[in-house]
Amino acid sequence: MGVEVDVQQTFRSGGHDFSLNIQFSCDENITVLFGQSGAGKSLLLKIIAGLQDTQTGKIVINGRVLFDSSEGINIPSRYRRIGFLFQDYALFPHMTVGENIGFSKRSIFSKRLIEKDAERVRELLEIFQIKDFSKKYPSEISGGQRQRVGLARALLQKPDILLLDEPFSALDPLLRIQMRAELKKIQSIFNIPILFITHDPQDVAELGERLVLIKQGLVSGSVDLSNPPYRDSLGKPVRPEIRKILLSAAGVSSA
Amino acid sequence: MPLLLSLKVAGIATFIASVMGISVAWLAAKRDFWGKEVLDALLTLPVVLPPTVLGYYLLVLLGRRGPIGSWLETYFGINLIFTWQGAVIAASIVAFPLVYKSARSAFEGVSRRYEDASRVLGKNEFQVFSLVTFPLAIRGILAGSMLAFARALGEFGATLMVAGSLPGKTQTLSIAVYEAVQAGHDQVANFLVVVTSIVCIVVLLASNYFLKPKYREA
Repeated sequence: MGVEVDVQQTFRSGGHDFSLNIQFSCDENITVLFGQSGAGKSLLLKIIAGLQDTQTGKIVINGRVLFDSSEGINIPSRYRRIGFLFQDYALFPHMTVGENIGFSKRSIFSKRLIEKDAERVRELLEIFQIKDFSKKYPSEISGGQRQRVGLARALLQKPDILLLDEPFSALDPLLRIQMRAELKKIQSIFNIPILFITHDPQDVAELGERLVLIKQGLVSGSVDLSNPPYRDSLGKPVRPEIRKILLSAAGVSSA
Repeated sequence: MPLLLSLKVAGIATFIASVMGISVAWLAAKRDFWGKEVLDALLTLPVVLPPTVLGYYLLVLLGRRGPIGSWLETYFGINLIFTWQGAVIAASIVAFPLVYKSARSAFEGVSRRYEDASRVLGKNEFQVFSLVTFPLAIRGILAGSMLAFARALGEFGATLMVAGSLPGKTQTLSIAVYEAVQAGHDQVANFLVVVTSIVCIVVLLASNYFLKPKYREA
């Protein structure tokens, strides 16, 4: 089990060049990619998912090579077995909650699923406690429920990894606390590595087991948060220590 | 009966214009290729060109001595001038930009997030189109097709140039109205005008019905 990412890509937009040059690897269950807006985090997730072309590099997930420029390997998105939760979840507005979750298994001719997949959808509806909304459209449910639908939809095809693009940024603070706890629970139920980008220090403290700091397209640090001094003897996060490292990474002295 | 002929011509023309308009619109909205905006301008030309000018181009192209006309004549023995099929071609070309323009903006209005989401969920490009892009754009496309149908139904100039006004053969509704007024047959003209207006109102009501959204973007 493990994720190995090594990508280089230069983008040109509006006369400015932006270079992404990122290497990191991780084995931990939850890896947090932390950096300010515009640091290239979202781009990185898109590259891993195959939604954005990249020039050189190598991406390996659980021993499976998804991209290797030196070997000419570039597996299309649809075969990468990646669960992707978009920032605003990108639920299909013309499909009900149930149809959204079943999407990866349906054919183009019918929204009916084979019994085995329909059973999985019912399971996921149960786990995420959204059974009552399965006939509703995404616009008719709340933000937290939408996020659960997005997660359930991504998990139906049993992905090798879950990529989350600032999943909590659209939620109000109380809901964030709840969804962090749910995400932890989901990670333990499905036992799937999660790669998660955020610019919220709270997310890092509550969820991170490995922290990868990204600054202007480069990795500025990689820290194991699952041991002291970042965890106390009870396994609880030690916030001041985590805060210190995030602040120094952002170039702010923590006097 | 001019009404039936008009409906037939406009119906087939709308179908042709829709199939071509949707395909080209998808390419223009979702893919990048060289000369895209020039092509866009060329394809939009039929809306701005006077119908008689368009009809003249078609005559030159499709006539016996025209490049397409002579080819059809020698290899298939087909002549399109002064036939209802000629009227269909004229109406298709006039109606095409209406489908193309609305389909293009409808496709452009479908956010890439939805298409990306379905790619990661294991769908190939054809499945992405048929399950996500097309259903999300369908209302805009239908609106364009309805306008195209109304436009094809009322088509006068280009049709007259290419297909003429042979009663029972190529005389469509709008041409029949003109002929009736010219000949002083007021009653016939009145009847045809009322029929045309009713058909157009029905088309507009139908398009309003289709345009009613059944869901909201979340």
